[in-house]
Amino acid sequence: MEKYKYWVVIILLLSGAVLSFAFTKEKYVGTGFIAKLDLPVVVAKWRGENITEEVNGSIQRSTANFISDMLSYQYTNNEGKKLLFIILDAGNFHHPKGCFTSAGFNIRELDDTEFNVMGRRLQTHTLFTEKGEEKFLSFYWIIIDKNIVHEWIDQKIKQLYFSLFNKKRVGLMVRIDVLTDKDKMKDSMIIAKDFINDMSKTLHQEELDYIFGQR
Amino acid sequence: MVNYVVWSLVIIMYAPLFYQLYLFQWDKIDYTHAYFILPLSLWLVWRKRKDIKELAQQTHPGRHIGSLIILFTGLIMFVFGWKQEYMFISTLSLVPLLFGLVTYLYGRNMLKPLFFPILYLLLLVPVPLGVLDSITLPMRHGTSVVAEKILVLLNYPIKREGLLLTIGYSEIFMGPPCSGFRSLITMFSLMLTYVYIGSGGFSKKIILTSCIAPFALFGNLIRVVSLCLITFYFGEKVGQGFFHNFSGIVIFVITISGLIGVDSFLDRKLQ
Repeated sequence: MEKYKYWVVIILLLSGAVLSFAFTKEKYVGTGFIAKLDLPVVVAKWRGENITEEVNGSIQRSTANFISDMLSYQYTNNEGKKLLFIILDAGNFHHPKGCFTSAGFNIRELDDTEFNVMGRRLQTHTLFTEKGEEKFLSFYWIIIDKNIVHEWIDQKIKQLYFSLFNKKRVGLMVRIDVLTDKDKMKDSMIIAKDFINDMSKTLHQEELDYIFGQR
Repeated sequence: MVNYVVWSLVIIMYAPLFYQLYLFQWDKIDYTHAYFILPLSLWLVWRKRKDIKELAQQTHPGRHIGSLIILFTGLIMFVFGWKQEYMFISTLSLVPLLFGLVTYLYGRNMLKPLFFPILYLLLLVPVPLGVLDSITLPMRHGTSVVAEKILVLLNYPIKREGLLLTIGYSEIFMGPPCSGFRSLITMFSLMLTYVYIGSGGFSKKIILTSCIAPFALFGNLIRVVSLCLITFYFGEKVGQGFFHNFSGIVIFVITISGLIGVDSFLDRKLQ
């Protein structure tokens, strides 16, 4: 029996145990970004209503326990067009495709939509969701510390990077749902663009960077 | 003596992880199979105790640098996974750590009796939420579509809206248990052991293993269809009460009897 091998293993295991258990762990607990966020109720021609509690209640019925905080506003413009603006703060995100499907929606993935937000190029995932008479065009993007992470793998790599260096990050998923119809999708896209344009003008620079990404 | 120190250290390192898995994962619907993975793996090792004892007494000269690298990789995975709370990575680390440890200390021959029991521990690894979603959602959707088609063929008044089935005046939502993933992973874990300890050559074992998924999925489909029928005839209370919990047995019966049937068929054919 080669005894030295055992000692090599013992030293390795002991080092592993010390590194694992002797130091404290960093946890994602949310950054309080949403609590500090001051979303305006009136945005140009849009009038909003905070429906966070209502949406939060419906989300908690599913298994979305990964969400630290959320904010949800329903905005109506002066023509009566409605949209839902949701911001989630979380260390990890489900694909909205999954949430919609499990809620009984049929979904169709559309080409990404590009928005211009005060000189920023914002590329969002776009879904057409349908359940009976309810039809939405949903635009969503994930943004970690002011950087848009478009692909799932990109999101995972960023999360890994931040967890490695224990940076206190702001991980958000932003979603805009506009009521639509199959033949009125272009109109709904214009409504979303219009809303983003109006909303971006009312936010502070820092909020803009966290929600729509850095220029 | 030093041998015991090594294995005690492994136990000390992984005990907190297993405690965490027990706290956070084992009550989750897609992880209930994990209760019996470690005991079964240990039992499989215990079965081979004579071979292991003999192999352990042999000397294994050589550098085994590859084994040390595998062991080191497993250790790094554990430390990283534990520190960053990636249970997926820290649990997965058990496999390279044990492979590295066994081959480094006792030589590659030791892998012969231990290869399967160590690899079997992969089933302990909790599937990440994102991956689980992308597996179970299509499964739930597929099950609801096929169940609807079967019941339409049988002339039942059924309508499907996403994952919501409406039969008569009752609604059945295809929740996570209806995906079939739980039964698939549970049956897969159990039947792998059955196939491993069973008689027969490699090809027979491959055939049997590849039959596990179709039988488990078929069992789940029968379960969902019978749940719909029970709900239709006796109401939601009966369908989603006792029968809902009891119906899991249907999958077990179908999968186990199906595999035993294929096993004896293959035995007759190969004789």
